[in-house]
Amino acid sequence: MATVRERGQLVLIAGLALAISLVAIALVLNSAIYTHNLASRYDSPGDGVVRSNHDVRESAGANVRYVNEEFAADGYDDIRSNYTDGIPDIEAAVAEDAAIHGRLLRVSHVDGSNVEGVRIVDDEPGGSNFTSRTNESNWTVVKDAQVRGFVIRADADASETRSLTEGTVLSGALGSDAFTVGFDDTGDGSDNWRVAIYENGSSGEINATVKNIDSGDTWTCNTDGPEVDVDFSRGRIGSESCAPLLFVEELSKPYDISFNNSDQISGSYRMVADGVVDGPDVTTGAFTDRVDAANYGAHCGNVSEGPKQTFYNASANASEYPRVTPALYEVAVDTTYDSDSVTYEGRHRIAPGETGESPQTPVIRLFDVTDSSAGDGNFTVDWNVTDPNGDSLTVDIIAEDDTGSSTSVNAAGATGTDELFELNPGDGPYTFNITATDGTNSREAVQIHDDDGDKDGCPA
Amino acid sequence: MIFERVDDRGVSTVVGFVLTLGITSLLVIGLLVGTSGFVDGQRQGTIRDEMEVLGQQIAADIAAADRLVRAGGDTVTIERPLPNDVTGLSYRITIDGGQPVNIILATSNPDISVEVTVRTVTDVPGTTTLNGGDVEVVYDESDDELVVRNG
Repeated sequence: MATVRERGQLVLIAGLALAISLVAIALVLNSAIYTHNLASRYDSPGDGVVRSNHDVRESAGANVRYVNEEFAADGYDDIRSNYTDGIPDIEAAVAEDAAIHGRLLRVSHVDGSNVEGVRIVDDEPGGSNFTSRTNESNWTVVKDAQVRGFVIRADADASETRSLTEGTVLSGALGSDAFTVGFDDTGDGSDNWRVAIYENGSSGEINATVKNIDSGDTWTCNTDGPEVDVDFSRGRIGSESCAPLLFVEELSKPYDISFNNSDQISGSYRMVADGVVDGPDVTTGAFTDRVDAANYGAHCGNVSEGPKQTFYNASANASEYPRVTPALYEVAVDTTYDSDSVTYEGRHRIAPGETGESPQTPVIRLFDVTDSSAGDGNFTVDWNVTDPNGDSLTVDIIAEDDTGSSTSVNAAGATGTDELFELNPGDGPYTFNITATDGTNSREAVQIHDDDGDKDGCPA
Repeated sequence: MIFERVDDRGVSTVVGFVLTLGITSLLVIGLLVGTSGFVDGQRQGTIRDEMEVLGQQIAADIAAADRLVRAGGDTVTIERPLPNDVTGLSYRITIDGGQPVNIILATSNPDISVEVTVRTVTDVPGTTTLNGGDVEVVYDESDDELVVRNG
């Protein structure tokens, strides 16, 4: 009997040991299952924030485009207030989507983040050629600035749109009558590009040939017409990608934009530049002064031929094109996002269609030369300059008469009022030059005036 | 009958008992040794796998925080609930900053170590050792760096 009990104990011990081993295996197996469970979970905690931020940026960008188009006739203040009025609607739309997924999202406008700009547009109903307001076909569209959201719509069906083949354009170095956009570096002049836009033969396709003037390299993109958007911001021609157009991202800023053979294209164009116009119904301002000076040699028109119209129309209500209107260049919004695992607060700069880095060059918001009485050589100057990235500014103003004798105010602050310049009576016309610099970047504007006690004519 | 008598004479009760006990013991010992070795091997493999998954989750959080900072985030916190132990064993998490960021998870007895790397644009400073458990990745705006700490 004793022998039988010993045998039984051995089997019992063996069974117990095996049971423990099986439990251990079960535990290990459980951990392995848990591990695979962890590994196979959808796991990207930042996705919701990235998606919400994208929605906010797109919506705010659309809001900027909308107010720039719809409220330009009312001036900067109304554009700004209509933009901020739209922010709660954006928040309501994107926050609802976030709430469905159990996340909290808040969107708010950043006070003081608005940067004023100038919208340049020629979107005449039915399309038109791209000549200036004075019917010049070769003219400077933007002088010493940078632009965002630059889109040209070309219509291959219109008889104006030049019909050429790629080889014709290339052999003529883009000078073969095709409509050409020029981008010229205003710094050291080593970064210059041309883009010719034309119909490819009579196929109805639109070609865009990009040429780097300095290296001589050329690239051509094309797409089916008849109406095609050439988008310099996104590097697209119609629905096709056109990477050569993205040279604008690397372009040295600020730059000049010119149109050549602008009677050889039909369609529309639009862009927003980092400048300011004086108001919704006037073409005056440092931005248009520079454009007119580039085209005429003087901000007020052609000095030898007398005053002309500016190259832009002002009124957003009038059906005259091209025109300049007040616009928002950029704004900023704050977003706050809370979910079970992610807390996020961020600020987003909204400048739809901007290519490359944000503006760094000082903006001359006001440069006003007043001649209150005739024949005394006295002028007063008001100015206001801002820097887009908040650098401290230095302003120099030089007033020079026709004999070369000058008087100046140097190292002035960003704002000045009724600064008196006493010049020699009878030695006009008088040239006033303002240069604003932040130490790295500078921008200037020039006005020519007569000592006649008013602002009419040219010199003004 | 003759053969039965021969059997009884050749194999005594004692010899039969010893043989039975011996063979049974050998079988049981073999089974136990084999099973325990198998269980131990599986356990180590599971610990390694689990720590690798946890390391990748921390790496995903660091990469996500980096992405959110680059997307304009001033305040970024990502919390990650992690188990306090792996297969019944406590573990340590060491974040070794620099480029790339090394995330090392290790246990003692048995000594198992797993390393996961991730590249970030925002700096992750120095070397930090955390206990196994909940972890959070926080953006320190004043120093412009990502800090990993126990949540």
